[in-house]
Amino acid sequence: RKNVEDFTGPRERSDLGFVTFDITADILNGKNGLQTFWNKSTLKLFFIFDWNVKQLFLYLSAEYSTKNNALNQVVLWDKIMLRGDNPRLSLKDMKSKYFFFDDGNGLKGNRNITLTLSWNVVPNAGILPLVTGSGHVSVPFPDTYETTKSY
Amino acid sequence: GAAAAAAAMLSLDFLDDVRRMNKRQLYYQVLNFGMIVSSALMIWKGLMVVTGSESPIVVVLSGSMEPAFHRGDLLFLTNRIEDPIRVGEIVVFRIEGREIPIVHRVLKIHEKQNGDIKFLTKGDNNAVDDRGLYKQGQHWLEKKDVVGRARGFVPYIGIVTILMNDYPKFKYAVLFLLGLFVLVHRE
Repeated sequence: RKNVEDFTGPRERSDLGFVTFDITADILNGKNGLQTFWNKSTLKLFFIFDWNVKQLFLYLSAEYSTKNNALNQVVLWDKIMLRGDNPRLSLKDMKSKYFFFDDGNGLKGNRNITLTLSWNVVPNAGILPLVTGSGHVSVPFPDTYETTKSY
Repeated sequence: GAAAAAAAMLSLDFLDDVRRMNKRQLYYQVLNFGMIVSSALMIWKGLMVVTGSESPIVVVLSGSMEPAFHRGDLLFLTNRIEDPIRVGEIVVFRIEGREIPIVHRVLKIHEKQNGDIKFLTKGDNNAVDDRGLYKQGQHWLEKKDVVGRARGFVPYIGIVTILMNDYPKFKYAVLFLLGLFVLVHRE
């Protein structure tokens, strides 16, 4: 985790977090299976693809609290899974897809970053529910910044 | 031959009917039409109140949310203040000074104790987040930019609206046919 200038946003120095994770997911064809199991940093996801489910939009989000902001949520990774796609996900050592910038310097020493997997069910027609998997993983950030070598 | 003669007879009957419709019946039909339009408007206003959104139904205009939504899909929105904005939600927002609403997903939120929230969005089908779309110097969206949150959708139906916008002749044809239908249809 470093303190880096957020070059995509306002010109101030903000904390940038680096998280790696494993995801194992089994999307089954069954009835009413909406559960996630966490085993350390490996998560298992069970879900049904029925006739009215066009796709699932899966996303891994980090939620935490800082001095600046009472609630922060950052999507680290997402994936679109269409009905018919390979229902097994086995991702190891994934880096986050999006930069994990904080609004300020609230990542240093933050012991309580919660990673949750959620998904948006997109039907062929009808309601668009957002579901959060049960269970989550807590990730603590260290108290010091990582220094990069300069050449 | 005989078919052409029959068709000619039918069209003459039609003209006679129209002539027979006296002024009173014409006014009646016009009032009928007015009532239908008013009822439609009332239903629309009612929807605005119930959903809390100024635009409870929107048509998807771009492909930036594919494969979930395509151009022409219809989205049903709510904009209740009690519903907090959270990542993963599909929001419809307007950039200050621009008329066209954009439908994208919330990627990041930072919310203060008092409820003030600033958030970042991204289209599922876009490689980068929306910062490049926002106003010059604007880095975040706020509650005031939100038209509503997508709660449900129906595919394809909105294509009619897009066609009417892109091809004015089509719009006039539809309106003409509608007007003709209402005036000629007798209850």
